[in-house]
Amino acid sequence: MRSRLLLIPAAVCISGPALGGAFYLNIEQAQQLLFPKATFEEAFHILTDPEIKAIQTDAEVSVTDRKVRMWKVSTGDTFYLDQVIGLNSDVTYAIGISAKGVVTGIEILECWEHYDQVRLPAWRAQFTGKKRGTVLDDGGIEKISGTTLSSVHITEGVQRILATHAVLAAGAKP
Amino acid sequence: MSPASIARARPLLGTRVDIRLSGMDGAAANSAVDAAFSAIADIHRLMSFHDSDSDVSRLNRDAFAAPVTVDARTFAVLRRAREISEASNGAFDICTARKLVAWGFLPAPEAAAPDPAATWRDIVLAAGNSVRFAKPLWIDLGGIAKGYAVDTALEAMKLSPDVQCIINAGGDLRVSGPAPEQIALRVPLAAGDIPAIEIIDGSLASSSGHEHARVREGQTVGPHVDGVSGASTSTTRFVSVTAEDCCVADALTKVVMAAGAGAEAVLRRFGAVAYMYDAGVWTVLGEESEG
Repeated sequence: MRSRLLLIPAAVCISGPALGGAFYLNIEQAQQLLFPKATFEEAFHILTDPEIKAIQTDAEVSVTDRKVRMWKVSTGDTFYLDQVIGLNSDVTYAIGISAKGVVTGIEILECWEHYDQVRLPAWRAQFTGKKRGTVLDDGGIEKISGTTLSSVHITEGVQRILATHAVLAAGAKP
Repeated sequence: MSPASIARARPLLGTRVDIRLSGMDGAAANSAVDAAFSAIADIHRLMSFHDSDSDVSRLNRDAFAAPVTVDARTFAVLRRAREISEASNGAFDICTARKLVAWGFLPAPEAAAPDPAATWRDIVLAAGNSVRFAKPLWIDLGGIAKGYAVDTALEAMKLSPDVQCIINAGGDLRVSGPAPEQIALRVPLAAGDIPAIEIIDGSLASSSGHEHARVREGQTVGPHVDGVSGASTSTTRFVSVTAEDCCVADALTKVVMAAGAGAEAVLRRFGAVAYMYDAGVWTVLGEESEG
């Protein structure tokens, strides 16, 4: 292990949107990671007012987008694409839900953090600084020190999608 | 074929865990990353303060009444925590959860009230991954487990030495492979030049109390406790520590937050280096090895 401190003059850095973050996966890549070798049938849905009300009651999270981006998977599961916009970060992520309503996996597609961060040219810059994570269900180990991504938004998003899944499944029954 | 490069991220450990790999073909790289995420999810499940089924919650609830058998990984973290508590004369202490609960940084566990006099010395580790508390106390592994999770993730990937990899769990990260990585630091209150750390084949962790500082009983407190005084560590200081293991780097940031330059001997003992920013000045502690 070797390390050293560098102080980079701010002028070297690109000006522009003060963002840190990354693009990880496109939709097809996320689909193949969550459901290898499966096929996907787009089944986008526009939520009705009663559906929104049911989801909000169930998840205790507000619904801000009527459009549900979902795909029926050949395995019988469902693939959802969702976005959460937080104070500190915007996250696009995918979630796989089994026929029984259980989360099979989550992958982040894109994450951008709004801060006084800068994008450093030609660097694989990782932004350190710990992150607050007040996760609702089982919590994070590190709720306490943190600065950048607020994982609470993803947790709320997952709760909203699970409720959406349940509401749509109930509505589909004869 | 040029070596592939992948980057993936999942919400784990209450943060975003980001893993980047290059020099491995796509399918093998993806299964290595899957193994890493799954190892981290295990640590999350075992060591969460919030989850009532975790080893940590079981200990806080039951270990004063009777010995509790924990997972080997939890035991390994407890052993490592003890080592760092010993070396730092208690500046690092996982028993300070009581304060963090009182200050509102952690939720109160469903467990008997802790003895204010309890310290890391009251955690009795015995053969067979058995743990007993000599006094009622609450432990929190938030200051060490994230780093340990990063270490186990790297181990789970079983990478060949020529593969370049970086695992970043919200700022606690480990770099492995032949190339150095430059990591920008987000230092609160710093203006002007952008601080960054260049690291090869090692770990980096950072702590600062600034963002979460709050006032309790007329005093400004942050999310880190000095195990010796029981007081909050400075809320203006920023510390990055580099070390071989991320677990050690993670825990030592808390020692430097508490002891400042007094942490020099502990850092040297663990082969670690600290970069401390306080009142506009950078101080390097420990020995930077010659490259």
